[in-house]
Amino acid sequence: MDLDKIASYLDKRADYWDIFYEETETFSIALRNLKLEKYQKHVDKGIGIRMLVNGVIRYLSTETNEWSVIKNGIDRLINISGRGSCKLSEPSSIKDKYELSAKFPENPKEELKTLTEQLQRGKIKHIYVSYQYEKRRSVFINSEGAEIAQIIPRNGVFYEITARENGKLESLYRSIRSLEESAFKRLNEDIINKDTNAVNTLLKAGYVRPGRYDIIIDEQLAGVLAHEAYGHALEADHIYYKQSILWNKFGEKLGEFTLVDSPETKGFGHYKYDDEGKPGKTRFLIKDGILQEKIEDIRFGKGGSGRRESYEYVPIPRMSNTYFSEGNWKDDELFSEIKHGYFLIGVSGGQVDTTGGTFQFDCKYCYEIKNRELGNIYKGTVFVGDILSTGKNIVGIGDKVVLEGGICGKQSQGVPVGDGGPKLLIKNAKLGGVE
Amino acid sequence: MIETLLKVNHPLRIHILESKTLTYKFKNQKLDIIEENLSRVYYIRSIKEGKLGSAYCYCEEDIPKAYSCSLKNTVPFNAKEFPEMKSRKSEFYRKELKDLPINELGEQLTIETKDIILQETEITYRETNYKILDNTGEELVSEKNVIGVRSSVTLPNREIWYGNSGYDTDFLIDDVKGTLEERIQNTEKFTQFSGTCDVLLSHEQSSNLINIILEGFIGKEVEEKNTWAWDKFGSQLFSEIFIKEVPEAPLSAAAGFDDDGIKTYEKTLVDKGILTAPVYDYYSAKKYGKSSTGNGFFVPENSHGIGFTNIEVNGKETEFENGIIAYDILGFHTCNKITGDLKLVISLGALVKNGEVIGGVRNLGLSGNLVQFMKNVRVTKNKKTYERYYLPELILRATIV
Repeated sequence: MDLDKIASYLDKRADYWDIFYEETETFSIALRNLKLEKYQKHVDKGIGIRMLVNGVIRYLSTETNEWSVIKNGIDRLINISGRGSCKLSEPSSIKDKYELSAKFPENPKEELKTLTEQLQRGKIKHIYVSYQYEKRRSVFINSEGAEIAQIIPRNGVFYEITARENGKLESLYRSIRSLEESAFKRLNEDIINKDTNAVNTLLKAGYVRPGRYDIIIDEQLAGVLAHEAYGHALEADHIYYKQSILWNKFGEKLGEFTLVDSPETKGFGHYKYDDEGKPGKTRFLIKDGILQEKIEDIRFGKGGSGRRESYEYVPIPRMSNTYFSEGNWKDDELFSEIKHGYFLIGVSGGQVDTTGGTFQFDCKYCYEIKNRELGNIYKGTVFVGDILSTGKNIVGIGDKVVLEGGICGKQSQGVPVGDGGPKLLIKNAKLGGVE
Repeated sequence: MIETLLKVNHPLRIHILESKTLTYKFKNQKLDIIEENLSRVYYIRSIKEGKLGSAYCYCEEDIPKAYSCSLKNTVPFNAKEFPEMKSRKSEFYRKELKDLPINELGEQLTIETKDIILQETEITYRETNYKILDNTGEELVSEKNVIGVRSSVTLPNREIWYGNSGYDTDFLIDDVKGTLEERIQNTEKFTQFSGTCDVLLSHEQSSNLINIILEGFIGKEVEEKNTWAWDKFGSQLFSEIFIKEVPEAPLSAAAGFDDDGIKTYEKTLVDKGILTAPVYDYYSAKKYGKSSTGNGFFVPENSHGIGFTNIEVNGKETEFENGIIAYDILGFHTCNKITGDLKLVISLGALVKNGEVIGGVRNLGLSGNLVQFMKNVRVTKNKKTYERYYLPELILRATIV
């Protein structure tokens, strides 16, 4: 792809332009009950061209390297009439290269076989395991002279186990994602024991009765709370258009916690430069409970958090690694606060309505807490929260932060992120369930 | 390049998917972003020595490289040839983009209501040409254009959005505008609710629930006993509801043939509450000794897969007089497709008493199992085209917190 040729064509035609070229090498393999189900190696490549003309962003994306197709596309978009008021502030002019090296497994098929054997316990009848790595190479140039080349590798291992007894099914899954080191290294005996025991026990478990309870959420769920409840509501596009319940709350106290978004942290959402060529920086979104910062791209702020799924998409403000900072509560101190409540474990997913301030996240399963001790296991439940009151109900913060990798799907664009935090004690939380 | 490759002496197919997507995004009726995506992908599928191979590339000169790759990207496969295609062409709604007055469509969607902060509108036009070439000389061609209209209105205490896609621009504009206006009016003031009641799922939320039901019909999961439905076929599981796959109906997933080149056909999946039979693509059918049901759908990352075209739903009609209307639901994407357990939150809805809307509701939890919900499901008379569905609103009985 001749980026210089495209650049010189754009110079005379757009008030501002940038080009994002991307080449992603992907390998994936999957076994179902030890039989090979998937084996794929691919290279995806393409280009995204953003042009600002008459205050309207015009964006062309394509995989082709045929100049005539690209040129016709640019001309067609530029010639569409229409005036807007869009501005891009402080675009990058940095020239740099950044590469992370990876130590990925040499024989993932064998590792998946071993993992399958480890997961074969009790009533577990169906085991699906998969491994994937990707190496994303991107080049960013723009009309201000920026030239950024980045190579970031990521990998992940996934399993789904289904237990079956007397026609009843229970299933759990787990994703472990990692930046530089093999994801298999982050998967230990303790995790496998917990998941296999849980899925077997859940065959006889009931549903939580819907209602309000004091709860403890584990580190993974704390990450989802950080991401869904606060992170999305603090993305600068939502703030700018008042599509966040937090748009006018800067400087106000939301609770007693600290929330950070940091692309510099080497979590799954790490990068040195965002997809607009701006350096990623650590932001204290909420510090000691006070709302301080928002997550910005160059359209809605000074940038550093403009990200996209691929060359096919215009960058938008996105999180990187978002987490609650540690507190000073030991586990037994957290549990000793609850007379009757639940300990929620593992993430099934989450979602937020930033304007209304409603969020939900599901746990994989939970334990009843009775008189400060763990009781029976229950099926997964849903935590229904609202952003403003939940923060004030966080009354205990654990002393150990765990950061996990995930994929965030804002506006149907999947980007790698890290979420985390310590265990959190939340009073008067609303849990969905079945009578 | 393509002709040379088609001369290889083992079964080989080249799938060429060409698409052009143009999206106009407006903010308060002012043009903000125009996006165009031009894409042409060549998928190679080959059968050699008991293995099914697949790979893809983006330009014709990379086809030989993709072919070599397809001989390595393989999974075991017990068929010696691809299914017969019988050359043909299918075409759905071809309207030229230049005929569509995009700026005017943006204007027509204007919502006039007090306190409006922002209205965002997105109009997408997607043109796809899909071709399958086989080295036996057979060829399939499918051409389709789909229009998508989506709009959201931000008000001081809520955001209301709705979108639909299909072939009829006038219907889409009226549907999006009418739906937004109704929801804005019904949620002007919020009220509280908890307890057991009827929950009416809007058309889009009904389609989300049907989508999860369809997951239970995926043949390979049924064969592996890895779905809630695996031992339920032939028995009355739901109330008197009918779910049919209607591939050639004028809905957005219309397709004359599946990705394996097999002709699609109309089939009843749920007949008066009875689950009829699972569906298969050619490859999983071969693996489990079944016949393909014309449900082969694959994505680039997989060599084969199973999916559905258009869906029609009917059921026992009833009046909805009391309960909650669920406009927006969070959490469908996190449901457990294997067990059918659902943990949802109604993020925006309305409370109805004696047929009158009392006020808006939000932040309500709703949990349970799909099969339990569907045992007593009823439907309204209000059938509508929503994306690839033609369906009424479903009414469930649930405990809301």
